[in-house]
Amino acid sequence: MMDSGSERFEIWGVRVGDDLPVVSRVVSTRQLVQYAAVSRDFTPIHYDQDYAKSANLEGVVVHGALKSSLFAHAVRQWLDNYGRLTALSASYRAVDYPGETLTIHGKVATREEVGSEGKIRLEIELELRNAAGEVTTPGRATVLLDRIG
Amino acid sequence: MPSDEQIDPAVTPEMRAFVGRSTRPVTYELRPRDVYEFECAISGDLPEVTGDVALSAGIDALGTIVRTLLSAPFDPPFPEPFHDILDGGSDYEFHKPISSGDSVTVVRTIKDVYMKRGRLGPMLFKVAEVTYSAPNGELYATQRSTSISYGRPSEGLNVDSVGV
Repeated sequence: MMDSGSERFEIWGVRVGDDLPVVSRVVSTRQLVQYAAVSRDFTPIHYDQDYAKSANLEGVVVHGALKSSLFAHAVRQWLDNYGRLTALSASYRAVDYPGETLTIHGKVATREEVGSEGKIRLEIELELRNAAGEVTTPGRATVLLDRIG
Repeated sequence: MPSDEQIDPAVTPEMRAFVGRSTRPVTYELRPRDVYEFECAISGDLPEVTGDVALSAGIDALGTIVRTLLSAPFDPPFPEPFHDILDGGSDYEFHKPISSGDSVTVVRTIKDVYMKRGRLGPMLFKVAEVTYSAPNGELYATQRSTSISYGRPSEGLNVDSVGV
């Protein structure tokens, strides 16, 4: 288990099975408006409560693409400047609602040395869980570690 | 929610004809403020109304910022049978970092169209590939996205316009 505390995380020692620090996020309706504006995704289920309910939802829902971005942000925070994200996938299997605490979990699934320059490729399994602990959005990230930090 | 009798759940030849069809290229220049406001939207912070955002100019723009660069709509539009739409998911490959100041050309191609039945009734799945490329043709990123439309009849709504 990796320590997300003040001790400097030694990313080069990461092993298969290690967990990334859990990130907790509460997405507000204001943030949905912000994300709609920057992504130009004005689908009404993200800002109009009545419309969302008419579409068989409990209320406005978090943009799927915002959840992808939360994955990317969590992985990049963990990477610091020691590598870059090369692939990311997310499957929006259930909707998430603003105001609830969402947690982002990651586990290193594979580790592979790449080439002769000491680069390391990691596959990371990701999960976004709702307040009930249900996985609403499984995902996967590929990162390439190099000594750019 | 319409009954199955109200909407034929089959993929029509008109829908199938869109498989392989691409949007016209559209090119954006990614501005520092685009990057800054995108980061604020992800973090939940309010962006400064004024101020120097030049510090954002050189940073890697989080990859998924490419999602903000919408492709052009299909013309004529896809014959969408349903009114409501959900984003089913995306797979991204980031081939090279993208930063503010970069010029990015976006093209979307429909790869598959199929129908399924689920909790929300008949649902139309559209799988698309989106390419984000530099002026020299080099790819910044590719995205494979799945959109799901369902529910009420479309009433002419062009759901392509939301870009999912």
